[in-house]
Amino acid sequence: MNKERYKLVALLVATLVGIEYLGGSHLHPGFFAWFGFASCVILVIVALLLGKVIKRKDSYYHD
Amino acid sequence: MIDITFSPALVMVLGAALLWVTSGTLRKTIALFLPLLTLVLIHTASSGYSTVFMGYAVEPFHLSALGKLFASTFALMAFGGMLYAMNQASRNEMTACALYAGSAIGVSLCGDFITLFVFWELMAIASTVIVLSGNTDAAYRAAMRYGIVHILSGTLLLLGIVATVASTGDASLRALSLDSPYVWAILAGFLINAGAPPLSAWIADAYPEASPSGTVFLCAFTTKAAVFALLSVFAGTEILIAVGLYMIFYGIIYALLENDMRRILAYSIVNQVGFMVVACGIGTTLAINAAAAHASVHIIYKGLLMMSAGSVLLMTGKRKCSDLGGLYSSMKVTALCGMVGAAAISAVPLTSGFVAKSLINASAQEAGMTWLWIALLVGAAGVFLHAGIKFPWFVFFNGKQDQPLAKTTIEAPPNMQLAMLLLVFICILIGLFPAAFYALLPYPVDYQPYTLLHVIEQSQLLILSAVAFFMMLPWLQRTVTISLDLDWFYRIPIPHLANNISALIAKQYHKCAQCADPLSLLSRHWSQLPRSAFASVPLSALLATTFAVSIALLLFIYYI
Repeated sequence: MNKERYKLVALLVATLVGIEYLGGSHLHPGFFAWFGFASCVILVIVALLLGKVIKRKDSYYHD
Repeated sequence: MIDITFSPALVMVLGAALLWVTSGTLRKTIALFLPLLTLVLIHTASSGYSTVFMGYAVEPFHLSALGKLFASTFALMAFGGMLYAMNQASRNEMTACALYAGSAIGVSLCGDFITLFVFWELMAIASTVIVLSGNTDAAYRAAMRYGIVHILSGTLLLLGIVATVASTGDASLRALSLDSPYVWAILAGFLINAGAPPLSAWIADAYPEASPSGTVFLCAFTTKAAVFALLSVFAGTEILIAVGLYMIFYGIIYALLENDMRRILAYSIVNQVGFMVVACGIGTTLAINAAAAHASVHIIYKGLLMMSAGSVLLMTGKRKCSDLGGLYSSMKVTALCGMVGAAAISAVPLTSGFVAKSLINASAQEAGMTWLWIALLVGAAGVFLHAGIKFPWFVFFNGKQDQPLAKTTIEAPPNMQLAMLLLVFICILIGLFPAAFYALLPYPVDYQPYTLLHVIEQSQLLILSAVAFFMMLPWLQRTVTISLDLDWFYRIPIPHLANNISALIAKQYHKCAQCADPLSLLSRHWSQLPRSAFASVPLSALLATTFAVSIALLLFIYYI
């Protein structure tokens, strides 16, 4: 993703966070944004680590 | 309103025979007509139907709001599936699909354990035939494993049901508490069919081996019928929360590692059923509503995703993400329908998934389970990651528009496109009119999904999950691998052990046989016996002595 797209997305997210703050959520504004990002990063890392243990070639089970 | 004295499920179960004996346009017409007739009967029947079987009061047709919702969604999905399958499915497959859908409807419309068991086993048989109809060597082997797992679940279920019904004298489908090992056996039977650990691997193992249309049917019925059973019998059972959470993350992690596009979707089934199982475990009226709502929208959008993947498989012959990509330009309808399905599963606002998923989160919040709510939120981000973006990206985009595959593929046939568009229509319709959908749920719903705050929060979650996906894309590129699962234990060590033991036994038996019958007389065809066989003294002497001793013993015992 190039810089322009990142800027657009950042703008969009900032708008959303702003509206959320004005809308009065009982959680701090931007919570869902960073939580979603962090969850995905952690899930991918866990998947890659587990993959090192359980991945095998496609033909592993060919009886 | 009419009074019918049979379960509407029988329309498709018996109608499957019509599909077997007809062909061509007549068969296609019947295939489309049967689910519609079932749907009409479900909604015009005024009451159920009870009878007595072997001394127990049974209710083969029981009208409940929960049952009607599941049965209607099954019937609708059966219609879409038949529309999708009608031009390329074999006779065996279409018959099995009708039997399978009909049995699932039968499970959701039954009021007692005995009827449930009958339809449950019919589902198992029919679905094994569907896997077999994939018609490849891999499909045959996968069908054997699938059959074995379902025989196990059926046996556990039978054990539990027989013991429970016999000891209480009451066969009606009702909530049971886990106070006897037989009730645990029933729970195990339901959970195996739902794809719970340790036997979750059968879904990703068997479903992708079926034909494009076969998998569309397979993904919609067994697991959701199991969810219906869990909701009817084990709602509020706390252990289900832990089981469901395992399923949610198992599905995400394995799907992230997977290369085969339909296996990704199969792991996604386990993930989504995990959400339903968690809601069933919470057990409040909102949670039961949530599980039922999620199950019905899932049937539709998972069917849509599998249709999209099936179309790609049919037109390209390829199933691995490493071989696919860039198909958006040549298969626009399939791609767009797949993307709507992906949006629905990710709970993008304006889709059916948003309307249903929100109920699950709300039920966790209402029950005061904050940690569970956080775990479900992580799960929601993960769903978007593995199904919402990964599947469409690697199949339809991934920067491969200029490759030969992308340029030479043509769009799927019109009936398949129509089937996908029908399901897209339903996904969006439910997304736009949540109140009408909530009216179908078993308990009244006092929840408004389209609040500004909720839409904003969900959008933040999804957008930043997408950002994370694209930032980590280099690490997520496909490898031509599979991921080992707990089914390894019954696929490698146990068969090898069994083979070794039987080889050992065979060797010993062979030694004994050589000793007792050195001329191999007992194992030869009578025409191959040597002329002097009956002059072979040791053998005839042995036979004669055995007879004599046996008769002597009999006479001795009889007269003493």
